[in-house]
Amino acid sequence: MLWGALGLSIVYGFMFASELERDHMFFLSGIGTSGFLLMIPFISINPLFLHGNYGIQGLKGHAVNSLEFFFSKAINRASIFFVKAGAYLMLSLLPLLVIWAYSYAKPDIRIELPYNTQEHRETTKQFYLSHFTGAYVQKDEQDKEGNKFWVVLPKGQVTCAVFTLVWAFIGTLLFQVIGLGFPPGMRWVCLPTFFAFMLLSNVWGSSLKTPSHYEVGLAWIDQHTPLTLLGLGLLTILSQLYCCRRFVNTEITS
Amino acid sequence: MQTSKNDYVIETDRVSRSFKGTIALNNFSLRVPRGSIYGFLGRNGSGKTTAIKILAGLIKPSSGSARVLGRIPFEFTTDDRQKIGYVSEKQILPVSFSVKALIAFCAQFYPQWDHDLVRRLMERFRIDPRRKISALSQGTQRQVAFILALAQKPELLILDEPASTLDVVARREFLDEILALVRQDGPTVFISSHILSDIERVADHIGILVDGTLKISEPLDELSETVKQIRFHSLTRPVGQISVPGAFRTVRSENEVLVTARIKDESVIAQAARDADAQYEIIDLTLEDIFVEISRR
Repeated sequence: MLWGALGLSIVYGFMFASELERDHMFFLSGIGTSGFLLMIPFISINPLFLHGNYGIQGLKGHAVNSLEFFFSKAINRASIFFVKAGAYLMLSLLPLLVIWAYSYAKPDIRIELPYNTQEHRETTKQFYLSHFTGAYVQKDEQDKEGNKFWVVLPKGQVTCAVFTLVWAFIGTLLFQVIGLGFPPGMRWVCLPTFFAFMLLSNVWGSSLKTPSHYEVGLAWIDQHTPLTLLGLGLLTILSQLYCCRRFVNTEITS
Repeated sequence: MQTSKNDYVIETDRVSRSFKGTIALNNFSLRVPRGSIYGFLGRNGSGKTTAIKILAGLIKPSSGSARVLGRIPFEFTTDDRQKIGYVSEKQILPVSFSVKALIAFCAQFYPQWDHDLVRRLMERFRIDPRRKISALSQGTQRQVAFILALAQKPELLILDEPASTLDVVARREFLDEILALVRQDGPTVFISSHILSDIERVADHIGILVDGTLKISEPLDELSETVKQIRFHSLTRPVGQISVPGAFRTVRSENEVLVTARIKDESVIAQAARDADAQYEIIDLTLEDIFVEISRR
C-alpha cells in the first residue's frame, strides 16, 4: 500500500510536470488546476499515515493496538512521530519537488495578452511587466490586425512550481494538523474541509479580471521566493512540533 | 511495622476517570507493596483495564494522583519504561514483524535485555522465531508479548488478563514462569485475571474492584482469614434483624440469614446472634466465593 501510494504520487508528479511544457494560460487560470491537482495522491497517502501511525483515538483495530504496544515500550514517542511524519512529508513533497526540478528544464512561460479591450490588455501587460522579474513583451505570431502580443516570464514555470509546492504543502500540513489536533469526534471534518478549501481556492483563484488573486500570489512569490520558502519551512516546523505534542499526548483509550 | 513510602511500587490516591460521562474509575486508591504479586480482580466493566492503562501511562486520570515507581505514569520517560513490563488485555503486536525481528527491535531499547531468557522461553513455549507475528495464534502472540515484557528485566510487571487466551497447559507454564521470575529477580507483579484459581495460585495480595472503586486491597492470607460467611439460623422462628458491622452482603431467607463480612472479633458475631435470638456458624470462603460475594450488586 505504501509503495502504491508512493508510485501514485510520482505518477501524478510527472503528469503535472509534463503539463509545464504547454504554452498557454492553463496554469494561470486558477489554483485548483495547479496545486490541488496534486492533492489527490495526498488524500490517498494521508489516511494511510493517519490510521497506521498516528493512532487516532476511537479507531479500533490493529493500528491503535500496535500503537499501544509501542507506547508501552521504552521507545521515545517523539522519535516515533518524527520518523513517521518525516516519511509522510517526504512522500507528500516528492511529486512537488519533481515539478519544481522539472520546471528548470523549461523555465520560461509565454502568456497571451487578452484582447477583449485595449484597456484590459494594457493593464494586464503592465501588471506582468512590473510584477514578474525580467518579464518582457514578445510580438511574434501577430494576427492580421497585428495585435497578438505575448508576455514572457523567464522564470514563470519555476514560480508556478514553487507556488504549487507551497500551496499544496500548506494543504498537506493543514490536513495533518486537523487529523491530529481535532478531538476524535470531530476528525470527520478533515475531508469536507479539504474539499471546501479546494473549491473556495478555485473560485478565489479563477477571477477573470487581471490580475487574479492567483496571479497576485504568483507575482509575490516571484519576488520573494526565498522568503516564501523560509515561511513554508517555519510553518512546517511549527506544525510538526504541534502535531508531535499531540501525538506524544495521545491516550490509548480503545 | 512502619512502612516507608518507597515500599510501595504503585500508589494511587482517589483516582477517577470517566469517558463521555461514564465513570470508569471512582476514587480509586491503591497501594502495591514492592516485591508482591498483586492479583487485581473485578467483573467485566468494573474499571480494571482503565486502572491498568493509567498505571501503564497510556491514559491520564480525570482527577486524583497516581505514582508508579515514584513517577507520574503519563510522564514516564524511556528510562522509566525500561523498568516496567506491560502486557495488554488486547495485546496486538505489530503484525508486519517476524518474531525474531520484533525481539531484536525491542532488545535495542533495554540495556538489561536477557537474551538467554528469551531463548529459553521461546523453546519452552515452542515458538518458531522465523514466523511472522500475523501468522501466530492469539495465544502465541500473548506468549511473545509476555516474553518481551520479561526479557527487559522489569522492576514492575503489569499484566492485564495475560492468560485469557491461553490453553490450560500454556497457562500453567506461564504461571510457573511468573513464580520463577519472582523467586529469581523479585520484581513486583500486578496481574489482573478472570481466572481466580490462577490468581489464588500466584498472588500474595488481592485487590477487588467493584464499579470503579477498590473494595478490598490486602494480603491474600489476611483476606482468607478474615472474610467469612456467617449463617444465622433458627429452627423455631424466623431470624430477627441481624446487624453485622462491615458486612459486604446479606441474604435473608425464611429461617436463615447469610452474611458475608470481615470478622475481626467473633464476639461481635455472637452478640449479633444473641440479639436476633439465633444460632450462627462461620463458613470459610474460597477466593472465588469472596470475589463473588463482594462483587455482586
